[in-house]
Amino acid sequence: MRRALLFALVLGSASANPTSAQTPRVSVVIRLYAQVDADGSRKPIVQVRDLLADRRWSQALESSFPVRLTFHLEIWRSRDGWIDEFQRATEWSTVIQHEPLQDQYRVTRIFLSGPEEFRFATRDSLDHWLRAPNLVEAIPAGVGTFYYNLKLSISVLSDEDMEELERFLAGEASGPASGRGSIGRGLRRLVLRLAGLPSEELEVRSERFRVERK
Amino acid sequence: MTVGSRESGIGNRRRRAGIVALGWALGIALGAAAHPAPVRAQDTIPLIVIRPEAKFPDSTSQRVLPIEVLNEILTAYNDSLTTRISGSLVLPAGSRLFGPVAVYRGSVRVIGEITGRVTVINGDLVVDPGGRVTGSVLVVGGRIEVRPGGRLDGPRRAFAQPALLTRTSAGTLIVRERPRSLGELASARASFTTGRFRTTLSIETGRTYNRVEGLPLIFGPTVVREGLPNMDARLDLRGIAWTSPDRTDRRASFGYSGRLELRFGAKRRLTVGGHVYRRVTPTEDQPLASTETGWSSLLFQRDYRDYFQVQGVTGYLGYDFGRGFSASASLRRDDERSVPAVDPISIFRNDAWRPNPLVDDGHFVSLRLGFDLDTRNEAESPTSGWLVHGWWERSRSDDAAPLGLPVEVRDPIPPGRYQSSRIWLDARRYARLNQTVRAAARLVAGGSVSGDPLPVQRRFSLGGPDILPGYGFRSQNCAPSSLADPSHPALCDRVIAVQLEVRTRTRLGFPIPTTDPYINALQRILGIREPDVVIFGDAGKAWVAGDGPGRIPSSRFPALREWQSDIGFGFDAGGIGFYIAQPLTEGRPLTFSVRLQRRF
Repeated sequence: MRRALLFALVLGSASANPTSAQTPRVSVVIRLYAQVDADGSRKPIVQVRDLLADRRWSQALESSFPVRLTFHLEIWRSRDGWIDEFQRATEWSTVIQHEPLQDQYRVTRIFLSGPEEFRFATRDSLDHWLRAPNLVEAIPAGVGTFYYNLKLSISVLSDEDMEELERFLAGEASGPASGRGSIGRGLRRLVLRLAGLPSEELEVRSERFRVERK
Repeated sequence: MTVGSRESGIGNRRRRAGIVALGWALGIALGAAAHPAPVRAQDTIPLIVIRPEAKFPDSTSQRVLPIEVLNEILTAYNDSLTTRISGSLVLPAGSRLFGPVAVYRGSVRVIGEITGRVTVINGDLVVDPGGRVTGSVLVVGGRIEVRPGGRLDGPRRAFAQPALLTRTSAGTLIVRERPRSLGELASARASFTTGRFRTTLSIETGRTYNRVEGLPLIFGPTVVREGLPNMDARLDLRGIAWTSPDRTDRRASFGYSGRLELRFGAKRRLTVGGHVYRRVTPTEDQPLASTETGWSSLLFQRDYRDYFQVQGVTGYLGYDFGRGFSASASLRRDDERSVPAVDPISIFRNDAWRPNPLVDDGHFVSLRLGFDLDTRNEAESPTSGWLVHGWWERSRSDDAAPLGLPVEVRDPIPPGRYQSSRIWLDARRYARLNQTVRAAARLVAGGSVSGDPLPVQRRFSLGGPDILPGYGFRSQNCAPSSLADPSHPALCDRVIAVQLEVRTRTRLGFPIPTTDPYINALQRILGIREPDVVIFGDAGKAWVAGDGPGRIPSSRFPALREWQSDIGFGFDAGGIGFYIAQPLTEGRPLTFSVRLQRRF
């Protein structure tokens, strides 16, 4: 009995090993900024790696499909011996499009404050920009031990998503669609199946840090 | 939905297998935690500072395209003399194009020569070396770029804001209506505005499939009065068609719903409404959600719910107190009646459907007070906060015809007034135990308050994929062994159950990174993401309250040793989850379940 349990544990552990990747796969890293504020606060640095080296996303871009990265950053207070406390979350998106006529890349970054647009003449310059670490101006409130949790959703925009994006960029408020049930989601997936486009969700966490009273 | 269960021999062996399987899951979880993603040395790339929480300095109106510009591009594009182009255009060196030219949703790259007015809608105009544009240029939703060696002679205007237009089948542009939400893809709708009233005609499915209705189709208009500072008004009128005919005439030929709702206040916190309806409604909201029940019925002919027809009128009011808390009150008068199971098609099985149980037919007047609390950090995959739904209800009937039930379930009810009170509470708490492990707990409790005899359609059961996945459908339905009813009705007065689970995200390489469209398609249909390993335990008891054999006195709870409980593990990959549960009582076998949504 014990041997069976041990075997299952070992085998399960082995199967969880990430297999050596044949091709690079997109990943996201979150770490703490080296500079520490007076009260001990540390801002997160978010970095996306190998997006353009990952064939799924580079092929989608080359096929003129816009790629959207949605970042959802949560701030948590860690309480040893008790459940952690969710403090708040912030979100931003980056949409990358290839403009075949101009052979350039357009990147739209969308914050609460509005969109920012960047253009890159070459794929290398886009890659360099995408790989740059982003220092996020978001710190916890109060004292205690904190950490950041980041979810990154990467997807290819459908025509309908593109229209929604245009609507947002044009200044229209667009809240989440109401009544979006799982049948609706299923149908959406069914529609997107025709294109067979990839999507991915990644989640990472930072180290913990302590904030004291100033 | 539970898709299968298998006997695996003696009870001890079964339990051992369950424990080994749990070990496997733990191993995977531990292994995943022990092999974090590789972290590379810091790149020598400059840091970019972003401020996602900064608010927009002013209203969004600054970003809206001026209406006169919108009208100008519509006129320019729809002019019959205009050369219309949809998509991008490259004008090669040596070629000439005489305007007016209008391009929609594409960029224009000029290496040749364009003479005349040029309008570019939601794209860029690029004049390359050697290229020339002579005439007025208007670019909307893009920019103008004249590269060295290119010429643009004429007035030029560019607006970065895109124009919200759409192309008709006639090739002209019109102002785009707000797109349907993704959840409305299964519906067709059209809108028009008359004065201050906006009307939307729609037809959609009822988002389920069952053995009483088949597929419900819902159609009709919604009229909305908007624009008032302190009030919104909304009228919904719907007809309901059922795809499966009932040849017994017990069920009506069609259903309907008419609802008038008014919302008051600057923040629309107060809601007052009235509703008339005739529809088929389930007796319980478990053991599966209506969507999962629909798929289970359609694919495997397993309908996990029971139904009755209700025709009546309701008045209600609600108040949103903010911070996720709201309260409501409603008074309704319903004609409730039994409806039979009919014979809708099922894809993989075509045996007889489980009969739909009879209910206590009659008119019922019900008062309900309820509240909701939702402080979750997100709806689909919460890791923090509360979700609580509760209500108290008092029902009375002067003409109901109570079914004759065994005395173990309900004492005979004399003719005349019969009334009952019941409550329902579903409280869920989501929490993160540390950086990697999340936990969730749920308490479900409901039943008659004062020991009054409940109508059949207001009774409870336990067992099945949702609350007690280790046990079969309605393993606790309180039917005595003397009652041989193939409809397997829910007959309990009270129910209580708790669920606990911990989960951690694994790195098992899902969704599979591939450029194969078919595998991508499958992963999208199933909503595959990095799976959570879920370890869970459930316990619950449903019972008949009162005095007599097999009953538990109204004033006390059943002892814990009388509860059914299970433990198990599973993988939740987003749109699909697989679970194995081991019952801890009665020597039952392992149960395998597939869910199309999170457990709770």
